[in-house]
Amino acid sequence: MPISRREFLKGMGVVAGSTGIALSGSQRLIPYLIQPEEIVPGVSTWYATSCRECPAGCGMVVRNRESRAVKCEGNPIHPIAQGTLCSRGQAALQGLYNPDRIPSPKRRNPNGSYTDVSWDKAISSVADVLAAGKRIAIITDLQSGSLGTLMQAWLSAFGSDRFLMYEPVNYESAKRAFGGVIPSLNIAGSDCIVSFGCDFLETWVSPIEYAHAFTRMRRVVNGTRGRFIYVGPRISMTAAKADIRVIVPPGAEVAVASVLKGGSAGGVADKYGLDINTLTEAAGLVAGSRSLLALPGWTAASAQAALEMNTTGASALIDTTRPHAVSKLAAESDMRALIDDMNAGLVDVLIVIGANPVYGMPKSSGFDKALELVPNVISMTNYMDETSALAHWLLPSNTPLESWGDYEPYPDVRNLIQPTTGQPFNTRDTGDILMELADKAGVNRTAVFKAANYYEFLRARWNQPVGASDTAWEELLRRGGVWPGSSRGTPSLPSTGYNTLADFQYYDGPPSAPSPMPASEMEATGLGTARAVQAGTAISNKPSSKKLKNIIYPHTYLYDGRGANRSWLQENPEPVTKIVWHAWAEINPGTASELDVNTGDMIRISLGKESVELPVYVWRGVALGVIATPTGQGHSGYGQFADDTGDNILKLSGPGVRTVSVSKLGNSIWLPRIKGSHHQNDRDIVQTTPIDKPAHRAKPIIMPLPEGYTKRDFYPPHKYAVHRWAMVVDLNKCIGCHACVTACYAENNLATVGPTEIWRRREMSWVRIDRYFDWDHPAAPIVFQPMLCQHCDAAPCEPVCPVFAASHSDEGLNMQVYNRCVGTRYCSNNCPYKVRRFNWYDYKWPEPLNWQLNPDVTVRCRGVMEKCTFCIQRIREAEIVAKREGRKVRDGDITPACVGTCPTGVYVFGDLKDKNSRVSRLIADDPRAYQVLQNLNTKPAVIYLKQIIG
Amino acid sequence: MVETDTPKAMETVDDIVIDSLGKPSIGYIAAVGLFVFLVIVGIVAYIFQYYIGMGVTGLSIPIAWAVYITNFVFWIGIAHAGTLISAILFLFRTSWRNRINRAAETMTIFAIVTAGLFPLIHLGRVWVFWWLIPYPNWRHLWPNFKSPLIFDVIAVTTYLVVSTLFFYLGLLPDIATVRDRTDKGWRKSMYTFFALGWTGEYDQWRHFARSYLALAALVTPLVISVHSVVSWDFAMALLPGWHSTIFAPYFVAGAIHSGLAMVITLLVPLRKALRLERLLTPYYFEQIALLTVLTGSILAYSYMVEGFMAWYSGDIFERQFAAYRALHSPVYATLFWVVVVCNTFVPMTFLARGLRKNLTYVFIAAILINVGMWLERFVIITGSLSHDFLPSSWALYAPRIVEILVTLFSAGLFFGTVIVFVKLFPSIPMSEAKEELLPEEVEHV
Repeated sequence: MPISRREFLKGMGVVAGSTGIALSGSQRLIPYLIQPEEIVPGVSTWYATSCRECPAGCGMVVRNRESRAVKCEGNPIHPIAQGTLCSRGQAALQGLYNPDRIPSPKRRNPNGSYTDVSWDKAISSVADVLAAGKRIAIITDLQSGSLGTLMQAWLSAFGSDRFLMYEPVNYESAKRAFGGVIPSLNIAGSDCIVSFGCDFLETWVSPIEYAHAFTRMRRVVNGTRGRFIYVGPRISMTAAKADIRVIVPPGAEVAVASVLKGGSAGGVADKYGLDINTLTEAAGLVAGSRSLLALPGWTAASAQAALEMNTTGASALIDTTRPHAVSKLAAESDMRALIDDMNAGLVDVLIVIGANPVYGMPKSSGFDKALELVPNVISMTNYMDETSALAHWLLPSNTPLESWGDYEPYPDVRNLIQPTTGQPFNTRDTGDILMELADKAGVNRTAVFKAANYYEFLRARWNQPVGASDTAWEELLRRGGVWPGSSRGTPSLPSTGYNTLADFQYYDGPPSAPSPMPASEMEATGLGTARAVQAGTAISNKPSSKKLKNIIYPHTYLYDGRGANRSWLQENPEPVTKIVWHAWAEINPGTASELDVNTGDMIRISLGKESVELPVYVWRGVALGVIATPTGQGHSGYGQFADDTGDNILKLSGPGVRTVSVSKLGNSIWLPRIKGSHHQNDRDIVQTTPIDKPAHRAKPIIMPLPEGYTKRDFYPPHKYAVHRWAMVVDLNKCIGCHACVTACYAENNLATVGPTEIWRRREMSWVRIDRYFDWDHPAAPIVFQPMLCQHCDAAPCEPVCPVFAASHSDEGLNMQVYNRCVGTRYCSNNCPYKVRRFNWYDYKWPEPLNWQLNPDVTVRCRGVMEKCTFCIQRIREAEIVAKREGRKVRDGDITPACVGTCPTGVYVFGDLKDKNSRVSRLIADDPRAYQVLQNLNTKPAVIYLKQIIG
Repeated sequence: MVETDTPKAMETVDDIVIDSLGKPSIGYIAAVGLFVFLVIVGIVAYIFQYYIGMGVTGLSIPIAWAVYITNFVFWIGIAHAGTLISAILFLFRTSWRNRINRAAETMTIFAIVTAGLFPLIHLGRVWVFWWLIPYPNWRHLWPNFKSPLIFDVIAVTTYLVVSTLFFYLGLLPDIATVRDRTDKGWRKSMYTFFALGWTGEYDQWRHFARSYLALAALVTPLVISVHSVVSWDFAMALLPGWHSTIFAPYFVAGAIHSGLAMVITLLVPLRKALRLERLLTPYYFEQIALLTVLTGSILAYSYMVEGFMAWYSGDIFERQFAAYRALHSPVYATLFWVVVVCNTFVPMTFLARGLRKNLTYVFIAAILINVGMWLERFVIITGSLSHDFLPSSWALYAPRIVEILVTLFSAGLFFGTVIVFVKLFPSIPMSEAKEELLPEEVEHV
C-alpha cells in the first residue's frame, strides 16, 4: 500500500504519549470536518502489531478503516503465526470495543460506589499515596518487553522490588520437564510426538506456532508422516488429531511412558485398565522414531513422564537457550508469599496491571481477603473485573490495540506494538500512567526513565537493534518487529500465508499411478493401523466413592478467563463438546451412571472448604473416574458477556489435577451447546483414507462447471465467462480450532445471539466446524469438518426462492440478495448442508461494539436469510485492484477471511476457470478429493480432501 | 335415497331454511363471541411477531417451517371438500350433494381465506409480500416461476376466485328467494343488492344452469391441481420424506379426506343450531362418511407406499428417515402412529352400518380425522426438517405461544366467519333441495 505513514505515525505518537489530547466519548473519533491526508475513505490501512491475547505473541496486522480498527489478522512475515491468527487473537477487537470497558478514571467510595475523576486529579491523588514512601507491589500479567522493564525501574525508584507477573496458567508443572523453562520446541523436526495431555494445538504456550509446525510434521512424504501419540485423561481437540490416543487416569502417565520406552505393557495395562494392543502399538511407534519429542501437559505427572521420555534424543528439538516468555511467570508460591505479606500488613500500595488474581487464585489462598487488608489498591486495567472491583482507584489503561509497546515471545523475536486505532475511551497507556505517577510523586522522570513519556522510553530501548533514525523506526513499524530473518520478505497485506500447493500434495503422480509403501516397510517402521483405547470399556480401578480426579484445563477460547467478555469467544463452540456460553464438567458415561447424572445435571465439586457447582457433560472421551473442567467461565462482574456463565473452577485450583469429591445436586440446566447428532450415521460425510493404501476416488468429482452437467439435469448449466470461484477444504489439516469461524464473525458482521438462542438452534455462523464421534473407529474417534456454503452449481436453494433473492452470480457464487429477500426460508429448508442463517430478530451490538463492524459488509435486518458469500467484498476488491493495475486476477489474490486466518492451511480458494489455479490442480490431481452429499447432484464448489488416518 | 322425514313441500323447504336465518340464540352468540376472542388474541400475537421478528416462534435452522405452514396446508385441504361436493358430485349427478353443497362451499371460501393468510404470517418480511405477486413493473423484476411458492400464489388465488364465483352463482336464486320473503330493513337492502335483480325468469334459469355447469367444469380440475401444487412445495424439495412423486395424489386425497371430515364437523352442530334436522337427515352424513372410507383408503395406500419406497430406494437418507419418523423418534413416531390411526383406521369403521348411522359417532370420528390430518401435515413438514442430510443439523421443534395463538386465531377466523355467514345467507341451497324432491312427494302436498 503506497501510503506514507510517516506523519500519521508521528501524530499517533503524540496522541498516545501526551496528556491533553486523549479522545473520549463515542462521537469524537469520526467524522472529520477536515479530513486528514492519510485517511482515504473506503481504503483500509493495515498496522503491524503484536497480539497480546495470550502469551504466544503472534504477529498481527490490524485493518483500520476511517480511523477505526475493524479486523485483526496474522502478520504474514511474522515467524510465530505466519499470517494466521486464532480466535482469541481476532477477538482482541472485542477487547478494544468492549461495552464493559472502564471509560475513564474512577475512585471507589467507602460505600462501594464510584466517582468519576479527571486524569489530573487521579494521578495527583495516587501520586500522593506513592510519595508517602509506602511499600509498593505490582502484580501484572506477563510482560516481556519494555513495559516490564519500565515497571521494574519504576518500582526501584520507589525503593521496592515486589514485582510479580501473575497468570493463572503459569506452566509451573510443564517447566519441570525442561529444566525450569518452557523452551523453544522444534515440533516440525520431530518424527514422533508424544503428548502427555499437552493441548499444544489449542492452549498450551504458543498454539498457532505449534499448529504450523504440526502441519509440517504431519505432511505425508513418501507415504509416511510424523506420528502423534496422545496420552492423557481426556480427548481434547489436540488429542483428536493423534494417531493413537491412550486415555489414562491422571497419574498413569509415568507408567505409560515407561511402557512406551520399551517397558512391559502387561502390568500397566492391567493396573490402569488400558488396551494392551494400543500400548504395544504406541510403543512400536516410539521405538521406530529417530527424533521423538514428548510434551508435558498441565499436571506434574505429565511433566515427569515427558521428562523421562525426552531423554532418548529429543535434545536437538528442545532449545532451552531460547526460553519462551511464559517461563518468566510467577509461580503460585510467589503469589502465596505476597499474600502472606499482604496479610501481615507489609504491603501498603498494590498496583494490579492487567492481572486478575481474585478470579484466578484459588479461594483457599485467601487472596481476596488479603487484598481487603491492603489500604491502597490501584488497578490499571481495561475492564472492570473481580480484582478491579476491590481496587480503590481505577486508572483505565489502553488495550494493546491502542497502545505503544513491545512483546518478546522469545528472546530473539521482538514484536512491536503500536496504536492501530484512535481511542474510544478516556484511557491511557499503562507506561504513561506509571511515568506520570512517578513524576507527580517526585521521582525525576528524566533521570530514572531517560524519557519524557512511554513512547520515548520505548523508542530508546529499540535504538539498539534498529538505530535511532526515523526511517529505520518506521520500517520496523511496517514489519512489526525484529526476529531472525526479519529483514527478509516484503511486508504485505494478509494473504494465503504459507499455504502453497506443495502443502496439499499427497501423491506426486496422478491417481492412476499410486506408489504405496510396501507392506513390509510399513511393518518395519511400525506404521500399522492405529488404535486407541476406548474409554469406557472395562477399567478395573473404578472409583470406590465419589472421589474423582479433577483435571482442570484452560478453555480453548477463554484461556484463563480473560476471553470471557468477548461475545465471539463465548459463542464459539468448544471444538469437542460444542458447548457455548457456559462452564461445564465432563465425565465418562460410566462415572455418570455411578453418580446418576446426565448431561445438564448439576453437580457440586468440592475441594477442601471450597466448592463449585457445574452442569455435567457426559461423553466417552474422558477416562473413568475423572472429571474434566475447563477454566474461564463463572466470572462475577467481568461484563455483560461473562456473567451468568456458570461457576469458576479456578476457585478450587489452577490448571492441573486435584482429587475432589463430587456429589449430585438434583437440579439440572439446559447446557447451551450446538446440538445435533454426534454421529455420522453411516452417511460417509467425513471421509477418511488410510495412509498405507493409495487413496482413490470412488466417484469422479461432479464439477460445478458446464462440464458437470448431464442429461440427468433438469436445468441448463450456468455459463461462466471469466471466473468460477471454488474452494478446497483439506480435512486432514483441520484441527477444529474455529479460527475460521471467528474470522467470519469479524469479517461479515455476524451477530452473536447468546445461549438461549443457540439452544434454539439459531446460531449465525456462516462457517461452522461439524464434529462427529465414531467410537467404533479408534484411529479417528473424533473428526472435524468445516461446513460452509458449498456454492453449488445446481444449488437447491436457488430455484425455490420465489423472488430470486437466492440467485447465481456469473462467477459461480450463490448470492443472497438481502434487499430482495422476503423471508420464506424455503432456501434453508432445501439446503442439504443447512448453512443458511436466518435473522430471527434485529440483532444489536451494544455500544461501542458496533464499531467493530466491517464497513464493507451490510448489517442484515430481521426477516432475511444470510449465508457465506466467499467474502464477496474481498473478491470485488481484488478484482478492482487487478483492473486498476491492468492485469487479470491472479491465483492467490483473493483470500476469504476463513482462508486467511486458518493456522493449518485447510482452505484453498481460487478460480476453476483457471486450469492452473491451486484449486483446479488439487481437484484434478489429489485422489482424496470428494464432494459432500455428491449423490444429490448439487455440484458443490467446495471440494473436500479426505482425512488421512493411520 | 331420500328418507322419510324429508319435507314434503317446496314451501316447507323454504320455510325451514329461511327460519334458520332468524334471531340468533344465546349459544350462537356465545360461539361467535368465542371465535371473535380467538381472532383478537391471535391478531395481538401476530402484531407482536411482526414487530419483534420471527424469533418469537419456535422455528430454527433447520426447522424453518412448522406450524404456520401446517396450518396453510390444513386449511387449503379443508377447502377442497366444498368444491368436490359442489362441482365434482354435481357433474356426476350425485343427488345427495344438493342439501350440503352450500355449507361445503361456504367452508371452502373461508378456508381458502384463512389458509391464504398463513404464507403471509410466516414471511420474515411480510411488509414486502407483494414481491411474490407477478405484476408488470418497470424494473422487469418478476417472481421466480421455478419456485413452487409462486405456483402456490397462482394456484391459490385462482382457486379462490373461481370457487367464489361458483359459490356466488349457486347462491343467487336463494338470495332472491330470501329477498322476496324479507319485509324491510338492512337485510332487505343487502339481499336486494346481492340478488343482482334475479327474478326467476326462464331465461335467467337457462343462463344460470349453463354457467353453473361451465363453472363446475372449470373448478373441477382446480380441486386436483391446487393441492397438487401445494404438495409440490414439499415434493420439489430435496428432503427425505418430502421428495416423493406420490405427493400430489396423496395430498389431494388427504385434502378431500380432511375436507369431508370438516363438513361433518361443521354440519352436525349447525344442523341442531339452525334447526335443519328435517332437511339434513343422517342419510347425508352417511354418504359423506362413506366417501371418507375411499379417501382414507387412498391415504393408507400412500402411507404404505412411502414406507415401501423408502426401503426399495435403498437410499440411506430415505431409509433412515423413514425409520426415524415411524419408529425411532419418540416425538414423531408417536405422532406418526396417531396420524395413521386417525386417518385410516377411524374412517374404516364407517364400513359398519350401525356406526355410520350414529351421528354422534360420525361427529367424533370426523374430529379425529381432522386432528389426524393436521398432525399428518405437521409430521411431514417438521419431521423431514428435523432429520435431514447432515446429522450435525438435526434438531427438534416445539411450537411457542405465538404460534399456538395464531393457530387458534385461524380456527376462530374460519369457524367464526362460517357461522356468521350461515346466519346471513341460506345454508341449504333451496332451489336445489327443491329440485331433488320427487314428483310423488310434490303431489302429496
